[in-house]
Amino acid sequence: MTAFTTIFITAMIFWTAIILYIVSLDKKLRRLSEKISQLDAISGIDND
Amino acid sequence: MKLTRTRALSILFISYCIVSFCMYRFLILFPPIEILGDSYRLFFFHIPTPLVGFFAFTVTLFSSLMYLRTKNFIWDDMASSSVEIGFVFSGLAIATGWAFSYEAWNTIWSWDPKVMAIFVLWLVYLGYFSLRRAIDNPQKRASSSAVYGIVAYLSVPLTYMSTRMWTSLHPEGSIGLTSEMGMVAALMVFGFLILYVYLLWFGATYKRLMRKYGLLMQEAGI
Repeated sequence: MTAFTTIFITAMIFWTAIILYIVSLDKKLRRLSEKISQLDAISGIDND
Repeated sequence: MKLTRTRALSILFISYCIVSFCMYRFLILFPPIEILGDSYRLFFFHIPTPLVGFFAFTVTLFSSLMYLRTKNFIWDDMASSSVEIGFVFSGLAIATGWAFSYEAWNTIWSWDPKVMAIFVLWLVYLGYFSLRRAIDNPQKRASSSAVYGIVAYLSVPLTYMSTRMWTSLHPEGSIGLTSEMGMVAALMVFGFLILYVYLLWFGATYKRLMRKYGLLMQEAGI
């Protein structure tokens, strides 16, 4: 295995980790969106 | 076309594939080049990162102008998110520059006009965050940071043009890459640009939702 193969594997691990971290943040965004929908529904009931 | 969550995630996946493909090309397949040897491989990160940073600050300029015109907070969300991304990409440009400098000249710092200019640009946009943190009133914060975002943009063309205005270690023309290498560098720029689009969508959506969440909590008296 050449030095650049090792660098490539390391870079790919880092790059994949960054993307997976971003995807995990996206899940948080979805949860926040669901929470807002629930609050919206509650305030809708109160308004009635 | 509205950017939905599924579309945004597809963009992220495309960016992942493009950058992975490019890394395979320039780290495994490409041979060393004359004079620079293997250190030229750093250029595939060092070229796209400042370009995406400059693009992000240009989006901030446009969004800031739009905010001042419309007073719509969506533009403020876009401007501040874009600065955050641009700040990270400019930081990466400085870091990859240090790595190349160490490899090529055995030093991590040189008083090169372009290095100094991008470092000043980085500090200028650091001030943007300080300004936003210092103001509590949302309208005042958005207006002040929009004005700051417009004025701070002066540092972008100054950084870009610095190699033409002063003698610099940064080359003006070709750095000895073949046309295939140039294509991969351009593809890296594109890969990072679409990553930027995803991150901008994420940042602006998160800020919009947080603002709505705050308002709903206020209404509910929590």
